[in-house]
Formats: sequence, structure tokens, C-alpha cells
Amino acid sequence: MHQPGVSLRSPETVMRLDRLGSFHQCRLSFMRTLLRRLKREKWWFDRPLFDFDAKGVGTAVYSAHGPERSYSLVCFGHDLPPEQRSDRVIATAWDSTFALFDGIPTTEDIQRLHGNIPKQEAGRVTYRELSVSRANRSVRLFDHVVESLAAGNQPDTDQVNSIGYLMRTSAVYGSGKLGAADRDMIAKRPEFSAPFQSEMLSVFLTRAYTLDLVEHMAYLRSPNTAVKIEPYLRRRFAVGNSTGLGMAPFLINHPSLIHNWIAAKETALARVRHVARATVEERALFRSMLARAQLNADEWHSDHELQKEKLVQLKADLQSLQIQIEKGVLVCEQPWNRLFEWSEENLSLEGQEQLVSLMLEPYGELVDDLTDDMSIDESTQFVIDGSMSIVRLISIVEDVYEFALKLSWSQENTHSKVWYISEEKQEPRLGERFEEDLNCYEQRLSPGRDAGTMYSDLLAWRTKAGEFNTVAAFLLKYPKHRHIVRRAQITDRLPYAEVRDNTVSSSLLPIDLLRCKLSFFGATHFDPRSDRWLRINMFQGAPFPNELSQSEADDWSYPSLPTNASVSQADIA
Amino acid sequence: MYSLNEIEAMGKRAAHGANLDWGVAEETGKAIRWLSAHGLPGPELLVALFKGNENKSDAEVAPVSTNEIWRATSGALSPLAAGAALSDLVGELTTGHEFEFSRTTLPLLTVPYAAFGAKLRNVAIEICWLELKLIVTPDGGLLIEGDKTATTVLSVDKVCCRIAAREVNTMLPPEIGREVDSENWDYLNSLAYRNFAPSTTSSRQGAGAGLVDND
Repeated sequence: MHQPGVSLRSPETVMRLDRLGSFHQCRLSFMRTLLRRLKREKWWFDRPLFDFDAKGVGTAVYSAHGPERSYSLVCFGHDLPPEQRSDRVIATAWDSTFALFDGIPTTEDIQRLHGNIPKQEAGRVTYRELSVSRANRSVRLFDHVVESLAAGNQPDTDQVNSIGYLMRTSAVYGSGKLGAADRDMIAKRPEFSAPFQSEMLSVFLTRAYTLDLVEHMAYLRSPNTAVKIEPYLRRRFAVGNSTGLGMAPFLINHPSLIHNWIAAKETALARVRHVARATVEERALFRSMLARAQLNADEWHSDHELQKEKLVQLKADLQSLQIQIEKGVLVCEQPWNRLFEWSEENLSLEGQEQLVSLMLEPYGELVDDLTDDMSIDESTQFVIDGSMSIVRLISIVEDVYEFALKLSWSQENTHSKVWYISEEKQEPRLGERFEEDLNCYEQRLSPGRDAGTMYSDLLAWRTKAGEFNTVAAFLLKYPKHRHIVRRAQITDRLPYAEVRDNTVSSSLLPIDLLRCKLSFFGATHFDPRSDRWLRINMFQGAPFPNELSQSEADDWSYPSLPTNASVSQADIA
Repeated sequence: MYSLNEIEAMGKRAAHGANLDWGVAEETGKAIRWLSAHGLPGPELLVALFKGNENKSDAEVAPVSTNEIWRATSGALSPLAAGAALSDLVGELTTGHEFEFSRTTLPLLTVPYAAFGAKLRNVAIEICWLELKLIVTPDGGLLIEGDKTATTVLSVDKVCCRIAAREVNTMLPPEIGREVDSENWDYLNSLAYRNFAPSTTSSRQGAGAGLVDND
């Protein structure tokens, strides 16, 4: 799938934690892939059930109908006492709970789900359910919106912009969790062939539910005065999401899948860098997107010191980028390649990665097909090739894990963190190796360290058994290295499969792993609350299901410019 | 009914809880998933294996050498260790070699590993014991011929493995999951729990959002 002429960035450049932690959503992100498909295939939506009381207790069903199949989000609203409102995975009650059902649920299905979905992890579902999720209200904004609408007023725009969502999801379980359908069961359906499409559909319909619910509650509170939210403001509402350490190991646990995500994006970048000349329309679109990205950066708030610093840098970078564009750098041979090379010298990682995403915007026809390559049947990569020679494996380890072989693993700060799973809800956590007694619970989430340990055994084995001895013989003696041999062989075939950085060092920021994954989802406004959990917005600015057929296919990911703003035409020759 | 993903995750965690290395545990999860997808008793056999091998070290039940007849240092081969070696060495089958295992516990547990190798090398492989022959194909198919009562035999004195002599059409739709009785599931869960650190107040701190989120 690679375009000749401009090479892909190397995995040593891309797969560093600080760069992964600077990724932005782009055309290949899963929310955008979903909405492009829904529009292209003319999916239609209805709401066969919507029955709630004034407190928001009740049931709704939102159905999405595609060319071959229908799916339904079954929503349950609850009356949650404030003291129970927690986004932590250890919570046991939520404001709303959801299941994405495969088809149109019968009354019996809804009853069955009603007995299980509100309990989340304590309930069980079946292969008819594709995902299970829950959401809590942003109490401040939710109450403000209901009160305003009931009184006949629109909600305060500043509050809407600063909070961004009425509800935030705290988990969306798919892929066979709690008895739901396995990924294998739906992976061959075209609408779910790209990654996380059923989960994104669930969140897309959840957003519609949160808006319908506030309007309905406002109406019940004051039927004579209540109004609905103006369409322009309605679009500003996202679904929030709170994500913690539970998601962090995903990138390490799915090496071949991650390769396909990164390789698709890097290939898209290389294709755009290879473009010989940018047309007037392409340059204008880029300038418009740059202006919208600046607006997005202005609206992006975080109280976390690290992110505040990154945002200052991002805004400065976007300013420098604008100056470059105004100088006319896009009117030349291979303009994108030139701009990209300039960014590597002059912008922070945050700015460089924002530029990568922006450069793809004018080139849907050139890059959108790459979304077809972002899934993988991981079982095709799982089996170890025992016939490989020891000398070949040594060479792979020296290449892939060069970063780790250079580190001094006897120093405490090189491996002071320990990934483990807590008994409570069986969630990943990160502890201090030299302060807590956790070694016996350690999860295999440090490929660099594993590779370092194996490397010395490999060198000794080569001396003893000869370099033409096989991996199979080595593993018969050292079964403890099977895990890292598998990873090394996968990364030899799929070079972006491995994070080329130390995932247990004292300076590890787990939010870097979270941001990489969430950028591929299409999330915006990363707002770290510590080094290990954050909040984000999903589908902010997107059309609602009933607006999709009349909206631009894929023009919602950056905020719209004010109607009186115009993009300077300075570079248009 | 447990989904195949739940079965795989449980197999992996239980295997590590039973002191198998992570890489071996990952393969164990895949193996019992494969059996369950083919309507065979993956989780149940794993329970039988772990109960029987409780006091044995990995080295005792792994193949000492794979040059001649594969055998353990003492007693029977573990199907997980023998299976992993089989999957590693499956390339040798394509050059006409045959593998023979001496006494092996629960030989059905070796079959998924033959299937992994079949997929890697794009060949069909047959694996036989007593009067039973199982053929696994690169597309994930399985054909069982002969005395099916021997499928879940606890132990056999000889298992043979070679390239299948003929083309077979074995594709069946995979199972959507498997019912596992609570006694077996709870046993695996008790092993899986050995991986989990007890919750403490300090371990909860900083793992995620605040304990109350009324904002």
C-alpha cells in the first residue's frame, strides 16, 4: 500500500511514547470512518421507543438501518444519587446504561436487557449484544441545560463550550466481554470491518440520546414554556469519556493491530508528501482547516500542567505554520513534503503531529481507502516460526529493541514501575516496584525489558548451540521467552507493532498510550487529570443521526469558523 | 454461555496462575478458544490437566528432546508443552518428517497447536492416537475420524503427527461460545485470581477518575 517516492517515517521515529502522546485525530480515525460510511450507504435512523419520567428514568431504543442489517442502541435511564456518581471502574451504578443490539429488539429482549444492563459487569449478555456501556451526567451542564430549556431559554454557550458534554461514558465494552458477541462474529460485516465501528456506532447513538433526554426532561418540567436546543448549539455537544489505566495496555497487547493503524496513517502521510503540486482548491481547504485547528486549540482546555504546556506550544506552532503558508510555501514542487520537513526542524511534537493530521484533510480520495487496511485477524500473526535461526532472531532483537539494549536495567529508575491487575474488577494498574510488593503480580507489559533479558540468553545459546540452531530448540530450553520471541517476530514483519520505548521507567506517562489510542478513535480535547487518566470529547460537532443525509460527509472534526471569518487567499497564485 | 474471548482470557490467566510462563499461557488461552470454537471441551480439559499436574514442574512434563520420540523427563508429556514444540517445529513435517510423542496427558489439547502450525505453513496436518485421527486444515477446519470416544481420553502411550495425506473439506461454522459448568469455571477463576493483587486504598489512588464525579 506504500506510495513510492517518499519513504515512510521509521518506527524508531514514530513509535516513541512522547510522539504517540502527541497524536491528533485524522481522516482515518474510526468515528470519521463510521460517519462517512453511514452517509455513503444512506443509513437511516428511528427511535421506536422513548419513555422517560421527569427524573430521566425510563427506556429508549435508537435504531440504525443499513443496506443489509439494522442495529439498535437500547438505553436505560436511572435515578442516581449523587454520592454514587463515579466514573471509576469500581462504580456499581450509573445515570444511564446501554447495550448495542444486533437487529431490532423485541419486548422480551428489552426485558432481558433491563435485568442485566443496569448492572454492567455484574450482569450477563448474549451474542445478540455487540457492546455494553454506561454514562454519567455532567451534573453542572445537565442541570443547567434542563433548567434553561424549561424556562424557554437556550443554554449558555460558554458553559456548553467549556464542559462540552451532557454525559460522559466511562466504559464501552465490546469484543465478547460479559458474554457479548465476539469480534470474529461481526468482523466480516462490511460496516464493522474497520476497527471499533460497533463501539463508535454505540457512542454516536448515545450522543443523540443525551440531547433528546435533556429536551424531554425540560418539556416535562414545564410543558408550556420549554424549548428545544437550537441546531447550531446542539452540534456543539459531544459525548464525554473518562478513560484511565484500563485502556493503557491495549497498545502493547495488540501489536499487529497497532501496526496496521500506524502503518495506514504513515502511508497516508507519505502519499500526501509525494503529491507533486497542490491545486488551488487543495491549498484553500488546507488553509481553512488550519484556521479551524487554531480555533480548536483555543477551545481546548486543560488544567493539567503538562497539557497546558503542550497547548501553549501547539498554538505557537499553528501560528508559525500559518506564517509559513502565508509566505507561499505551498506553491512549489512537492509542497507537502517541503512543509513537513520544515515542521520537523521547527515545530514541537504536538505541532508536527497536528500538521500530519491537517495535511491529510484535502486528500480524502488519496488516503481514505487506507481505512480498509486497519483491521487484522491477529491469529494470523500469533504463531511463532520455530524454524528461524538463532542468529536471525538476535539480529531482529538488536534492531527492534535497540532502545532497550542500551538501557541499564540494573538501575532502579529504568524499571521502577510495575503493571499489575487489581483484584477489584480486574483492572490494570501501575505500581512502584521498589515501594510495593507487586513483582509476583506483574503483567507482561514491558517488551523492552523482556527483550533485554532474552538477549543475554540468546548470546549464550548461540555460543553453545551454534548460530544455525533454531528458535524452536532455544524455546524448548527457555519457554519463558515465548512471549517476547512472538513479539520480536511480529515486529520483524510489522515494524510499527512495538512501542520503541521503555514502558516501565520512572518517567513513564501512561496518558501517552491513552492519547495514541484515543486519537485513532477520533477523540478531541484530551484533558489529562493526572499522568494516568484523562477526559476527552467524542463526536463533538458531528451531525446527529437525523441530520446525516443533509450534512457534509466529513466536515465536522474541527469547529466551524464564525460565519464572518474568511480565509486569506494570499497563497493562491 | 461464555464468549470465545472470555474463554481465551480465562485460559490465559488461569494458565499463568498455574505458574506457566506468560507466552505459554497466551498459547493456552488460544488453544482452549480453538477447541471451544470447534465444539470441544477446552476449558474442561484444562481443568483436568491442571488438577492432574498440580505438583509437577514445567521441566518435568516438557519434551526433553524433539529429535527422536518426544518424551518427558519422568511421567507423561504435558500437551501444552508438547503442543508448543509441535507448533514451533511444524515446518519439519513439510519435509516428510513425522513426530511421535510417548505417553501424553489429554492429547486433545495438542490439536489446536497442530492447527496453529497448519495455518502458519498452509498445510493440513493429521494427529492420531488409539483408533482416532484428527485432521486440521489451514483454514481452521477440523475433521474427526475413527473412535470418537477416544477424543477426550486422559492419557495415551503414543501420539503421531504428520502431514495429512489427502485434501479434506472440514469447514463448519464456529460455535458462538460455550457453556462451561460453574465448577470448572470457578476452578479456572481461582487460578486466575492468583494473578491479581489485593486491592488497597493506595492501589486505587490515581488509577482513574475521582471516587465521586459530580461535576
